[in-house]
Amino acid sequence: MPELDKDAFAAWAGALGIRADREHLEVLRREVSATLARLEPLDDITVDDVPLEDALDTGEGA
Amino acid sequence: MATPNELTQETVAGLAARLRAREVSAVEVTQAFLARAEALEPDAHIFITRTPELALEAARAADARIGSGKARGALDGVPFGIKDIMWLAGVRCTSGSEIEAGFVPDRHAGAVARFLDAGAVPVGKTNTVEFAFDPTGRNAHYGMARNPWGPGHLPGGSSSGTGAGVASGAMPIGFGTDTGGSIRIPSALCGLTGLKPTFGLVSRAGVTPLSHSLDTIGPLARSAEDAAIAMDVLAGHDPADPASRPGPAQDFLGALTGGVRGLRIGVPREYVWEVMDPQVAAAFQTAMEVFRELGAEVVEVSIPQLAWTGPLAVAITTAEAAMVHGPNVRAQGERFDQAVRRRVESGMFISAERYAHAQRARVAYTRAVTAAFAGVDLLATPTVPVPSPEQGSDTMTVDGTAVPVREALLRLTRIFNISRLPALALPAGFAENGLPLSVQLASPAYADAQVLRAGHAFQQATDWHARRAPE
Repeated sequence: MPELDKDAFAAWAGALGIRADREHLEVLRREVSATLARLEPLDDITVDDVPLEDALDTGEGA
Repeated sequence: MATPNELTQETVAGLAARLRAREVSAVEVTQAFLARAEALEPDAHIFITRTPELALEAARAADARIGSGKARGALDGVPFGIKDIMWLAGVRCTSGSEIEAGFVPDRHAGAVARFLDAGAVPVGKTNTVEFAFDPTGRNAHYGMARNPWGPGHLPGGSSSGTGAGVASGAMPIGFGTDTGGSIRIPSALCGLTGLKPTFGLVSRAGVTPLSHSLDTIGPLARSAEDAAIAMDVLAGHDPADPASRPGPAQDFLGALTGGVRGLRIGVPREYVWEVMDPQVAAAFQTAMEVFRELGAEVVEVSIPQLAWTGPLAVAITTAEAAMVHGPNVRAQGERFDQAVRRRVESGMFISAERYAHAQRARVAYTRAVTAAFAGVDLLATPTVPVPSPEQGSDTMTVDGTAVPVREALLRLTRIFNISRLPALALPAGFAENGLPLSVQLASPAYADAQVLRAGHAFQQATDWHARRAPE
């Protein structure tokens, strides 16, 4: 996943209600880029046999 | 007559025996621990708030019960520490944060209430990473708890104060919470025995949440026996916790004597060994040899889904942390530890679709780990793949490879948060530099007593857990 564009990221952060100076946003941009890249392997996991209702209830899996 | 120093080095079981024999009073025991804490602070950063008056009041009540033959059990008159994200009525609960520094709850957390009802003596609220959101033990507001095995090295977190406190002799047992390893990591780095129970077994009512799908409460102790004593009190239903599911009744202390003869211990082939300090690997192999000598069979198991561990934990924990702490971060982000702030903010960028997908994958992962138990009774891994890292660095070198410290600390404990299974950290030796090493045992859901039984058998054959940190 390519690193997030600075202006696009600032707009996205603003839409999420994050108000911060440029320095904080730049560190956050790198951190969010790394986090989202790290989550990409999840897209390859097949979950067709796990009903959403079961997954979002705290019962199954325990 | 035991000296104060001997008392502060005792296990809960040892203190209970001394109290029952009237060799020492609960007030004398409490005074010994309070004096030890006084000598350690303020430099050790074990406590955020100490409660000596409450402790002595509880100790006097315990002595009255013991004196009249009405002792409530092994915890009656025994001091304990409370991680400062758990409520103790009338005492501030900071959650390791400046923002919550003035919050004073009007009731006890469910787990704390059970300990108090059993007669245990609260000596204080222990240090924690801000909102329990980091495994290192760093706290920008209250300082970092000192690891008595290696000042200058991390105590582990987020239950850093309890870990350092039990290891330093400020308390014989204490509470931690565990979302990605926050009981087991400080236990491993501070040479303790720490249990993350089955999800839902111990009440989370009155505990500041981090990740509602994964948060658990449990003890950091000096032995598996002490953890069993704690669990006999802690396990059970609490209607105040929506996730409370106690499962079948377990006799934790009674199950300790069964040994491990005939049990099969599975060691995962995949994932676990990709980041591993050779000293930790050697200590793990030695521990497995001990289990073989005790009559267990150690076999390899395959769980390819362990490769999902990191992404799943990050997706669920950061998204749920944003659900809880997002409003505070938006309103007063500058008052957070900035690393914690960014971690919470990162969770805001995870879409609902991706979060839901991660939750479904968590169930698939749990099924895979549970399926591995079809052929074994326990799973075993090192608890943490490295001895305690030095403070002040975000990366470390493990067997020639640079690894982020946080990822190194979390990668093995997270397995049993995502799968919600009980897992026990056990002292298992020392590195060349004198820092503790640890192995982790896990059982199927609601077989917490079995994992404690195996831990107790190991501790009957070894003395790693009985070593105390240098003065």
